[in-house]
Amino acid sequence: MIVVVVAIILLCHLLLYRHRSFHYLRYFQQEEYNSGRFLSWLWNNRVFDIKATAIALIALIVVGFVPFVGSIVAAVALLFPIILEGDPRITGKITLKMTMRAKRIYLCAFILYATLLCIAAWYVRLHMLWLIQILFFQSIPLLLVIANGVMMPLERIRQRRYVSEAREIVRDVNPVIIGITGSYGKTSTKNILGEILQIAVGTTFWPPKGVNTLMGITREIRENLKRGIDYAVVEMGAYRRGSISRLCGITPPKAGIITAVGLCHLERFGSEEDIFKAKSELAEAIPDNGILVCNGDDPAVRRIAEENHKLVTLLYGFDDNDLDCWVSSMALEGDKGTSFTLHWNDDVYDGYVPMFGKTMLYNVMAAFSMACAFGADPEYVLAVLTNIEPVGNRLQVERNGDIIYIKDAYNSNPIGFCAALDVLEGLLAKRRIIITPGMIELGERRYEENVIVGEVAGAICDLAIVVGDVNSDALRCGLERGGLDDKDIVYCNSRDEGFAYLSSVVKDGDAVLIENDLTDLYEQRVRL
Amino acid sequence: MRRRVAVLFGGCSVEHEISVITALQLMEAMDTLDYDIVPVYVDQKGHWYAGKELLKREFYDGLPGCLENITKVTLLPQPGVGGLTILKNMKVIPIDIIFLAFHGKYGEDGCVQGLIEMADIPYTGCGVLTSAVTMNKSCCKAVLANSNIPVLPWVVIKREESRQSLGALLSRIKKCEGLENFPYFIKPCNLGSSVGVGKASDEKAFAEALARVFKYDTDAIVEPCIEDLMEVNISVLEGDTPQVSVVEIPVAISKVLTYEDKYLRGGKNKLGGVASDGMAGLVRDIDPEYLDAKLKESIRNYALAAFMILECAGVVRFDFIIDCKTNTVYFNEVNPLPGSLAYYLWEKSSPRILYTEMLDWILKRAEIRKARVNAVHKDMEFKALR
Repeated sequence: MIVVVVAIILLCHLLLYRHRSFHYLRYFQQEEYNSGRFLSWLWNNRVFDIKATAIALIALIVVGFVPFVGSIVAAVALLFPIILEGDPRITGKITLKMTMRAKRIYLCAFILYATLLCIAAWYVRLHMLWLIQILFFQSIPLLLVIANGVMMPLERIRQRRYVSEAREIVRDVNPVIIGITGSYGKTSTKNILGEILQIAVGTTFWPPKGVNTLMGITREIRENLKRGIDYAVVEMGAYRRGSISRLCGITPPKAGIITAVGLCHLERFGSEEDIFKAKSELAEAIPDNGILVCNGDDPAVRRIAEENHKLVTLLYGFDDNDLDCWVSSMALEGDKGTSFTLHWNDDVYDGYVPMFGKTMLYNVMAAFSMACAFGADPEYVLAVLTNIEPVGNRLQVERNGDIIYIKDAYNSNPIGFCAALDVLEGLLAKRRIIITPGMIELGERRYEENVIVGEVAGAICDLAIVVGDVNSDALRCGLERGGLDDKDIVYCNSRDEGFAYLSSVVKDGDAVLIENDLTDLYEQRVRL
Repeated sequence: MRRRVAVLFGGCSVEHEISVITALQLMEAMDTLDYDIVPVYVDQKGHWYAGKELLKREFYDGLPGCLENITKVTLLPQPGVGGLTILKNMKVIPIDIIFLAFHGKYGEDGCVQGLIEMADIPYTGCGVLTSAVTMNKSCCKAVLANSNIPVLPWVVIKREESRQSLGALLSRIKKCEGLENFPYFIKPCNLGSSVGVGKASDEKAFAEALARVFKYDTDAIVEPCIEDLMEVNISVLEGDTPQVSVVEIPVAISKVLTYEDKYLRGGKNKLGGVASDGMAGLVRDIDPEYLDAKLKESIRNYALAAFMILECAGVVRFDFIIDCKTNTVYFNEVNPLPGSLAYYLWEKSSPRILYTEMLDWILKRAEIRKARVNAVHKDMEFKALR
């Protein structure tokens, strides 16, 4: 009898384990399997088990009176969290992707966990088992971290092999590589440039979405870079010094675009000078006879252009201050897009893009300059631009009935935030609403930067929904300074709560800015 | 005897979703007493999945995660297997007939037809050659023009050519008879569903329309744009003597029927994000009285003739254009596998054919055609090597 009961307990326990480890793995994956960052997320958010622990505590008492029946009931109760919490592989804004690496970590952790659990079950008595299970429930994320550590050497070997394969493919295909880096705008710039080159210049490879890490690019190259491709546009993310140099090692650029040197990911970098040096690595990697396209409105990027002389160096921007490509005027075309006047090579062109915001025009100018430097017909480039679609959640304007939604949902930064507010201000609307958790990865400048954007938002919006408590103080301070009444600022604990509130108050004729809809990791509370 | 039918849909084409809609509609209409349906969904990457779950429309809301637990299958390009092979264990799901419900690339252009020919299983609709010819607008026009079916003049442009010089390109077009002046109508050479179509009244708009086409296709086709035009569609159904349906005039919001007009405007609800009914949900005039009887008659005749010339099979839809100024009919394009299988036309034709009957007929014909094709001597002895 006891054997059967213990078996049932272990079975239910392991089912719960499976479910929970998927939950944690989702966050671990979001943190790119960085154990330190994962653990600090875990600690800061106190994402510890509550439900299963509570069940075990109750069982601990009940088992004293009815050992077998109590144990079985409690074991079955362990299955409830599985139903309540939903499968993280399917539900949630960012789902767990069961990649090979995720599977390996999961499996390794499972073996460790199951072995330890069975050993424990062998040696302890029934009611002690319930006590010990609590320890196990709480250790699930730690097991994942340990499994990750155990798998690391193998992972390294595998990664190294993939990287060298990718390098070999690049050498074989030998496309003209254009690297793009910058604190923001690089993904959009990459997509716009990719579309332009593909149609107006030559067959082009560009990794989708925001793929910009060593392993991400490596994977894309191994899967999709084929002979016959003439150009490759590669977004190069910089999270620390040296990361761009490493990327340039696989995809040596002939040309490059630097969009901005800003405050993005300041938490991971340390200082602004470090960011500057990291971004300079791209310019340094371009050969002297290459092409460098830089944002001329950004003093730090201009400095990079001045310090790195190339055969062709082009500057773009809005303030014509010795620029090669500049936009002298822009206007919102309803909720459809933006028209602009563009200057290039002493000619003036009228252009249109179905996208929004000043930051988007920076990306357009960068891509335009680069394509023209490669010999594209400017008229044809502008024709391509009229057909471009914005990448999901990067300053998209959508109309749903009589409500306009502006979605600018990705890793916000001060300049991008203000550009989105610009668009919100430019739209015809009865009421202007913003829903945002503020900006996160800004290091020690976070508070003041959030106050600044809050102030701008406060002057424009009629209602603000602040999500989470990370920036709520800073935003309140800013929004009130901007002139928004305290009663028009609503605080919500989670994204879901925020959206639920939004849908209860939104009316025809409103314009809603969804700004920086962050990854699950930074949302207020995860309860397990 | 009850036949097991694999309905293939989805696929790596721009019209992926439309194909899902077509398939869901026809699987709902198919007589389950006579046919045991095996839905086979091909995802956008080209992986094949089979299972009853695929019958539910809600299932597709959970893509791609929901595919994890669905059986992965394939069709081996060799005769004698007799069905779909399950990838996991190489076991076979026996199949009697394959019903093709793809639209566009790989599914409507002869590719999958070729694969099924090699697997030696009866399949519905047009064969390899017909599919391949009809999917290429330029090729199809050339074949029909050669048999005196009226078509508008046209020019094909390659993406590479557009990169050289737009000016030179325009002057080449202007040299063609009937294409001397704007406005032009520009569309992808190999796509249906009105994806990427556009009109150009000047050089700027021409460049924009070309850029739009080259997003989806490597070749563009340029035709004169008839200012005052009417689109007329008609369907033809296979048989020892093929039948024609009533004509319809699809009602476009703008002059040209766009992808949104065709598929996204849905039946009842016109807001974004509603479930679409595909081609069947389009606003249309069926057999309108205001259309001249003579014009209807010549459209019917052209459609029948084109069906024979192109050696079509199954149910196809021909799209004609009428130049309202001159009352001239032009063949525009043919859909070897039309959206919703044009069933909405047959329900209004006389004799009336209901969707369930039509599907039954198409399936029966697939088997007849297969038997006829196979009823030839296959001399495959070793001679040359011995």
